[in-house]
Amino acid sequence: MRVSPPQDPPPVLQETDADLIHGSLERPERFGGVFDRYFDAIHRYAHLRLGESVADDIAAETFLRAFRARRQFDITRASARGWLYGIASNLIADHARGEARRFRAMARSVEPADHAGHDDQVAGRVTAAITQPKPAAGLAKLSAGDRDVLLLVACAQLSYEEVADALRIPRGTVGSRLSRARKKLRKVIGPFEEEL
Amino acid sequence: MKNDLEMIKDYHDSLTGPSVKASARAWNRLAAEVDAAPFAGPARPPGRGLRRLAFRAGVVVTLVSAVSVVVVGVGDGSSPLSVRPANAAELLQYAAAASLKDPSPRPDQFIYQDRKDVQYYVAWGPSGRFDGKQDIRREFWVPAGPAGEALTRSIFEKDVPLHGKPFK
Repeated sequence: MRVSPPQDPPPVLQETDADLIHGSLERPERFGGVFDRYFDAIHRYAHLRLGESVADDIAAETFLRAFRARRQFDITRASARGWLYGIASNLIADHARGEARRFRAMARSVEPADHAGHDDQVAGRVTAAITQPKPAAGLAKLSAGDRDVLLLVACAQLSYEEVADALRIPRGTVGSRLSRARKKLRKVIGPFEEEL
Repeated sequence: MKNDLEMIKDYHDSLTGPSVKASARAWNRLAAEVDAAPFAGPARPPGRGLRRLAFRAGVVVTLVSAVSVVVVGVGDGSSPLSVRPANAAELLQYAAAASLKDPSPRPDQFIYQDRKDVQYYVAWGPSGRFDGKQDIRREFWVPAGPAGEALTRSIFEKDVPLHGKPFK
């Protein structure tokens, strides 16, 4: 019995991040593909943590550092997501005090304060409109390490393994930090959930 | 009812993405780094210089012109550009004309950016591996002053096969 060939065109397989990064060792311009894939996501993540204006610098610096360190990327991993978020997290860590201050300001600002910066005002409005300030208050109470894990899981949607790679910590530590962070967070936002 | 992680994810997803200006700046910084990177291959194959040149052309955002903001109706009327363009193509002509004059934009002007990207890609199908490229022209009109609305237009050129047999 003859089997007809499929009529649909074959799926076009995209290059993996590892292909692009490995290729960029010989043809550096290929790293542009990594930027195209992840710049927006990394920027949004940094925006959440530090505000839009700081995010502009953090996101740009993340890709510069990634490009310079591309030889260290483990090309057995198809995705560069965790690696890039790890670089961004390191850069964000330099602003830990500013981040906690920002979340505290967001927690206070159901209506943005007049003296707050533009980013804080925008954050305040968005927070008030969408989530109420309680999650921000919860985030402000977390240690920087716990916040890293929680936000990488919640926002970047990284797996435990990816978070462990990104932050260079054991996988078990990811679980314990996440559990501790969520417990603290629920203490703050729990009443809010019940009000809904 | 949403849990704590979902609430934070919702907030994250509701944030605005990077501005055109921030993306262009970041891309330019990376492009400068890429451009300065030494060639690491075993030997420079024929055409490689051309490809890098093409990429260089693709990633450098060129300040072509500063278009008087009177184009969008708030100028003082003294400029020859003090008319509203009928469409983006007309705006483009005004931009080109303005580029012959003062290239440094004032806060009340627009920066026009014309960029050519060259995308290389590889795909696999029944006839094996296929390499191709596609030129993309991207144009931006960004306020030089305080952030406001920006315009962008992308023109995707035809795919050009480089190696292998393209899919039908």
